[in-house]
Amino acid sequence: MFTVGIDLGTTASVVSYVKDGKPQVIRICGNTSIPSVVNYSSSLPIVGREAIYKADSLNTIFSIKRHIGSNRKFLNRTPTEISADILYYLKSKTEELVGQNIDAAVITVPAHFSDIQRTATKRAASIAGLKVLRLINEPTAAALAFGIEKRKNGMFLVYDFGGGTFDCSLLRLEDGVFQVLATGGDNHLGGDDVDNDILNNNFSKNGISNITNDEYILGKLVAKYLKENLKEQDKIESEFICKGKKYNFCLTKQELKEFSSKSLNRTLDICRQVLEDANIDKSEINNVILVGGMTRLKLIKDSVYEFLKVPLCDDLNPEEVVSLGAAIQAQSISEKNSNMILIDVVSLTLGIETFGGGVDRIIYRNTPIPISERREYTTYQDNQHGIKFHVVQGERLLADECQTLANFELKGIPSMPAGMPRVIVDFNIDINGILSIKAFEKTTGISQSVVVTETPVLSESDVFNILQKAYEEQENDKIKIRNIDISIELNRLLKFWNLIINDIPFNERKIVSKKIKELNSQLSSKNFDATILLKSEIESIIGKFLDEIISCRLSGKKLADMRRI
Amino acid sequence: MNYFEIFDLPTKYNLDENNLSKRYMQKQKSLFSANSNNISVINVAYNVLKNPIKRGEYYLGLYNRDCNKMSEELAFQMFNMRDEYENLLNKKEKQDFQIKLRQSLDNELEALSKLSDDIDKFQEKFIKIKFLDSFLGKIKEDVYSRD
Repeated sequence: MFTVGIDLGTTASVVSYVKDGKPQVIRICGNTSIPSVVNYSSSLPIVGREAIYKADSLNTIFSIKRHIGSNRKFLNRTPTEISADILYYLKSKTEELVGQNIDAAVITVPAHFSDIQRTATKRAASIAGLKVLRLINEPTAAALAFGIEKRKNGMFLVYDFGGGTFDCSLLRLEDGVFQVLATGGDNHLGGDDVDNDILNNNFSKNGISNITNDEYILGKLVAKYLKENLKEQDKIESEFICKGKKYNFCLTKQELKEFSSKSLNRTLDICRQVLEDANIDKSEINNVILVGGMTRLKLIKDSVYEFLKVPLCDDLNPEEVVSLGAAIQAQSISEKNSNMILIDVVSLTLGIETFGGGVDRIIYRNTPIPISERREYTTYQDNQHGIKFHVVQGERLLADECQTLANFELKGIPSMPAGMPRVIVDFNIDINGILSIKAFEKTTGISQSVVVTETPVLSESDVFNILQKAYEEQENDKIKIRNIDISIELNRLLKFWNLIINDIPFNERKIVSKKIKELNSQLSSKNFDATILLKSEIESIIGKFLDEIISCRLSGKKLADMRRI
Repeated sequence: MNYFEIFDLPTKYNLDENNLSKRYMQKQKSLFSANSNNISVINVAYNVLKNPIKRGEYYLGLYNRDCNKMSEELAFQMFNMRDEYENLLNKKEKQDFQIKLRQSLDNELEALSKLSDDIDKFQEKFIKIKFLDSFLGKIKEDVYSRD
């Protein structure tokens, strides 16, 4: 059986296979890493370096991985279809070079890919005619390659800073079992952003404000080149010509430091979080494995070392190590070889929206996969015939601010009093990190399976805004939750006050009714601070009579009647 | 088969976590070539047993015991503790409170491990631990969000 490992990257892709017991990278057209770029100027898609050399910005697609799983279309194609074209190219070139058909592949994805992104990646492979043996997380694959190479047990931290995404995973290797302890990351944090900063800075130095597509594509290649080649010197320069115009780009050490610092700090924060999730101290780490093009930068290496004070392993090629690990895993699965097994985890918390907009967390991040969890729900109104479920993924406190995976309704529940039906929902995350859901009502046996499909349309700026918000608005989430709590509480109180208002003496009753009216209007215009004030005023008036009212109620009389006596 | 039995462990609250982790890995290895449904069961069981709080809930569940009913005394204690926390002014004080609470939770867990023969006492102690743990979780969120 011929199996391969494919690292389908944001900026570049790599294919590997195991030959005579040793993993090795396949050189396609002489190169190990193939740019994930597709040009659609002719009837057949052109992939890789050739697509870049076309310098045809209108028909060329870069970094499609950033959009996989969305419904957005590029040149009339979905991101899944475009990724499939890249995979098809890798498959056919590999088969040509090795002289054998690929039976199955392990494809790597960022640890932080959502369910939807994983499903889309799997579908891209099937469009390309590849059988997917498994999807594995990129940092896990890197650790696997490293562990096999060095043959040693211990605790590894993988720092994977690529073109478009950042992942950090903590793993333990013990007697042939690779266990992921915790993982964290950000799908929109990568070297691409630094390249963009360099590009924009240079164009503005060249006095250009409206950048054309062609300028952008060439400029970006130059920016990347400058970033990667600034070694010991303080400054690096390069010239290029686009449509007959000459441009001069340069990059200083200081500028690079400045452009990288925001991303860099964010990566270190994520590392910190991962260590805390796993409850592991820095000093317990034996090795740090560097993965991804960004880790070639001395600046990044130094900062990671400064932070962790653990020896860095950079002797394996950071751009190839992920694909090597995938190849090892592909062979180990296809041969059912249990000398090296892998236990990976869920990277994003899975939950269901609760009454009021919060999230009931069902499967927490860093739980080993595959995993299944069962929950039981019921109706809250008499004769309610359906229950709606909103399934979300993410770490935010409010359902609206997590990513929606599915909205479904279990219908056909027979008429029953509230709380009687028993709706069982089974959540199952498989070994690829892909979710399936089954819901059924116990007394009638009505059931429903849910397939998670593509996400609603999001533009790049939407995505950026959502992420920005996630970090800035944690505090706001809390306020919103507080507000939801307040309105639930007030609705309960309003009902209660209504029940007892006639038991209050006339004068006070007049004041209270007026205040309740005002409170209702403040509540509907969402002036929560005003409602809190009104609530306490009403409570302080009613409070004086409350004991009395309750004791009368308990003896079966109304207070108003008592007073009349 | 209950979760303890899955790992060939006696059905007792107290267990050696290193031993559990070893057995978990052995099971994973032996099931690697089998179907993934069984692996899922093992993951669920491991997830519950490795966590002292989830393990306690599960253990009491095996005896059909509740772990959410607060005694009046405990309710009063928790109320006072919350009150004390809410009156703290700065981050330093809050962090100190968090550390103190973590320590007392550890002490209670230590005490709990000595009560495993007396299910009534175990239940009472565990309920307290569960509420301390959830309070600690809330404080943690609070302290970190103010960074």
